[in-house]
Amino acid sequence: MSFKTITMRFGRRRVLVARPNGRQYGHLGLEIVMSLASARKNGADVYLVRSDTPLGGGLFELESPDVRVLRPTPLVRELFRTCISLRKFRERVDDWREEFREHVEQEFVREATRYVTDPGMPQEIRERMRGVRGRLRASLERAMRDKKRRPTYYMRRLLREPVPVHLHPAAHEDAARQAIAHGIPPDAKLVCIHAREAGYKSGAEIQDTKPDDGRDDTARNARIESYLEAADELVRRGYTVIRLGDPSMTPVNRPGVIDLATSPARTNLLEVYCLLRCAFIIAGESAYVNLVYLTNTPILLVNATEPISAYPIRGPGLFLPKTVIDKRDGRRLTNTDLVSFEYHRQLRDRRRYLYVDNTPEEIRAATEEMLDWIDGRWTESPGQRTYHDVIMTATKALWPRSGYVRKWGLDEGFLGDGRIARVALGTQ
Amino acid sequence: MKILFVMRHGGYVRNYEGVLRQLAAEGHRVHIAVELDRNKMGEDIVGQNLAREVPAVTMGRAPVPEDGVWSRAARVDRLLIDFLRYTHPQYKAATGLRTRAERTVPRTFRPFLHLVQRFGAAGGALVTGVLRDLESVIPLSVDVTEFLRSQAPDVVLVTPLVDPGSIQVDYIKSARALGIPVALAVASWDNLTNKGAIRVVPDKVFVWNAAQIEEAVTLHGVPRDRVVATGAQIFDHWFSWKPSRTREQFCETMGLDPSRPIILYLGSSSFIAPNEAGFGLRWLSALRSSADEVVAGANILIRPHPSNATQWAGLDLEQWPRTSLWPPAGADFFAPEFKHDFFDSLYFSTAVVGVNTSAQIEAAIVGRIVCTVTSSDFTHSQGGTLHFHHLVNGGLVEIARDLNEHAAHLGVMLRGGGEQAERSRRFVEYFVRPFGIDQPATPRLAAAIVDLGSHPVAKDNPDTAVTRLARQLLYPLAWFVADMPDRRPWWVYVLMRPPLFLFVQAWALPYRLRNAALAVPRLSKSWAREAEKSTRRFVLDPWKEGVKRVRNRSRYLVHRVRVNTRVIGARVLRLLTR
Repeated sequence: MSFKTITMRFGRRRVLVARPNGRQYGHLGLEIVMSLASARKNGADVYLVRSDTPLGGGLFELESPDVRVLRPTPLVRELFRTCISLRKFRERVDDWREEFREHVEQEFVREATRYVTDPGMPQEIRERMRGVRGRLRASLERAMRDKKRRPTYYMRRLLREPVPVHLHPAAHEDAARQAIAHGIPPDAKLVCIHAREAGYKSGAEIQDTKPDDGRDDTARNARIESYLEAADELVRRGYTVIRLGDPSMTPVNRPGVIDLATSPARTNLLEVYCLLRCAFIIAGESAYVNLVYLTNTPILLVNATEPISAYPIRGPGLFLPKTVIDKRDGRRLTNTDLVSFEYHRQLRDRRRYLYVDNTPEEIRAATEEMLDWIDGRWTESPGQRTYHDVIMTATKALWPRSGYVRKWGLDEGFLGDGRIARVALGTQ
Repeated sequence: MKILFVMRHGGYVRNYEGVLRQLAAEGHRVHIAVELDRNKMGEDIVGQNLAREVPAVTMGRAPVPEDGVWSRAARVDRLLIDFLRYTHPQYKAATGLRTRAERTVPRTFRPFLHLVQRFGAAGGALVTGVLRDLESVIPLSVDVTEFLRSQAPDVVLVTPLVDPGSIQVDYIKSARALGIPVALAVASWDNLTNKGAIRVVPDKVFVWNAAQIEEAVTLHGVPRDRVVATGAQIFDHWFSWKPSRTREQFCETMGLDPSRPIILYLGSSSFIAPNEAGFGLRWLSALRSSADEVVAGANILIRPHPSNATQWAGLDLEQWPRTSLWPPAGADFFAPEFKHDFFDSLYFSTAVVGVNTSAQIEAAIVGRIVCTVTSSDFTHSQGGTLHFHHLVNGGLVEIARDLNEHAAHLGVMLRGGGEQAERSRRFVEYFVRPFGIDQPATPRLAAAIVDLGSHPVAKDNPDTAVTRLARQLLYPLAWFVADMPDRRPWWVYVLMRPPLFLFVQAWALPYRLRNAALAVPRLSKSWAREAEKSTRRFVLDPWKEGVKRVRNRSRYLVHRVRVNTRVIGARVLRLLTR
């Protein structure tokens, strides 16, 4: 899977047209920033085709001094939309045809095996079937090799260099007004927090749609209560803490914490405004992990279920993995185990692994380290350096074997400039 | 009297040990036949020890029905029935149970089940009826029938029968055909509600209490006169046990403070609480930070479920003072010392906590009610199971909506409130000993088994003319179904396999004829050569020729279609541009 755009020429001007994912918030943000970064690299303007869903309206209000984001007339807009729709349709048909062919070939191989291994079948037929099966297997292997050669989805190298963005003036004014109405002072130092909960995607997560896969994304969930000790520390240091999320979440009522998630007046624009303004965000494995590269917000990623996709691309950026226990033998997995093939084979399979949330103390310690980095007082510890090397080696080894790692892992040998939080190394 | 007791594995001996001893003491012979050798948690050892101690009890393997079209089709039929029972309106909230049952059904049949589900309970009942009728068409297993003949028992017992796709159905059918009385001994409190269905009704069903009688009748369609309540024999020994040591000694062993009350957490199985240790940490954290000092300062003893213990092993409980996990990971939970530890831990605890486990019943016998808390982790296993309602209806559980309310309940218990003795006694009378708290169930069940064996039963005829005809007619369907559960997409069975089969068979035919000709040993060499020549001349060559012609013809046809399309296209273009 890779994110595709089209580039059109109008005389000497080039326009990159992209239709970012309209169903998943994190992918939406990621695909917008990848479009902006690609356009900057190629010296093109950008037109972002909005899908019919109202998701992430605030993200489409962003502008960049480096890349011109087009807001064309309805007629031109329809032209772009048609072009990208046709392109996407053609790609979908191609993908479907390819998948169908592979599927049929795979099944034919299995059927042929029935005859090849049938001792009652004449030798000549068995030989011929073996030949057919061999040719099909070769074709399948070729297709598999081609798939591995496809460009990665998560263009880490492209995202390494931030694309500066801001809300366009009218939207900024509107968002600032909303912020004041929510009690967010215009000059306050902000930190955002987000704990993934079950409500937002209830019934539509991978464990609901593909129950046989074993993957269970509730492993990514966490409890906001465990963030509150860190929030208190931030408040003590003069920050205003903004809790982001959706209305289905557990309400938070804490001095110095503004619960935007459950506020009836919350808007996506206000959320984007907070992300643009905040010093950093403390978030779990959710949309914000990707969104922060659009809003250029440093991230402290807590409760990570695996370190590869969680690895922050930019510094300052820290991550803190969950405690993972193998239910088969009660063994606590080390940070190195979390990048093993054995673990990735059954990633987030809660039948096999028990995911224990980070404790309030761990989150607080990681927050303090993040504050040090933001304030320029942070230095890398030898343990962090060593783990960075370990994860680089492990990711390279996993790359050919794991589709997940190919999608979210190394991009041209680059994983990220972030680091694992010191507190995670201390518990090993 | 000779009694044959067919069990899934030796672990079930534990549930009937007292009854088996009593039957042996009364002079009856018992043979335990187990389907599986299983010793993961010492299951077989209990039976082997019993057989060693009591000469009238023997133990051996139960034969599995021979592999074949019908046995494979029977398994599918039974798995489908097992799933469809969850379309009953009572299972509306049982999403976890439904998903679990669905996972046992081969993938190929799942779209069919989803289709039936769309028609609700009525659709489910109709299809289940048809599938039950099909069960009567499935012939008896020769191996099982032979085994029963060779054992020549006076009565056959099976347990648990309700495992997915159980082969114990074959034992019931064969016993009935041989005229041997057969009964299902319901093994546990949840067996009739959260496992498979009773697909063929035996002569008797032995249950614990009135609630299970209702379940057998309403959920499994067993006639009321065939269900016999005897009480829960599995817990009889609990009524006579005494603690094996003093409270101080117990606390010392567990690493607890004897001056403080004990809160005992009873772990549940992996289906009920798959991520229990994660919940356990939250629970511990909530209790330790409780505003109620008695709760916050109490001893906490965690007893994991034997089958779900390893996940607790990775937790670092040392950060919590006065908290202990017992038995430690890797221990044999069924070793005699741990059995007594379990009794002692219930006896010395002041408050008991659990999600949904049979240990809660044991707590009731010792005079404790159980505090529980509703959590999203357990939605599927509390409200989503029917057996949990036995605890609720029997007044055994104190349910809290969140951990704060739960801590408040525990505070009441620790201060001696909650009417624990009275409520637990009422529950025991309702669920464990329905004939009176001083009336053990073991003699009742033993008597019921002997009574069943002393009355002859009519033989079933599994081979009536109608059944034989139906068997012939349904054989192709059985053949098709028997071959399907190999995890392939449905279109392979419909669109790929039949034409490919026909094609390969036609392709192989001439070679087969040739091989047959070559294989005739009576033919002389020249005859054989002649036959080969003839085969080549009259069969192989025309076949190859035919294939070549068909290929050429189809190529020509494709060519013609292309040319004609081009010509027509050109003409249309010319017309348009004229």
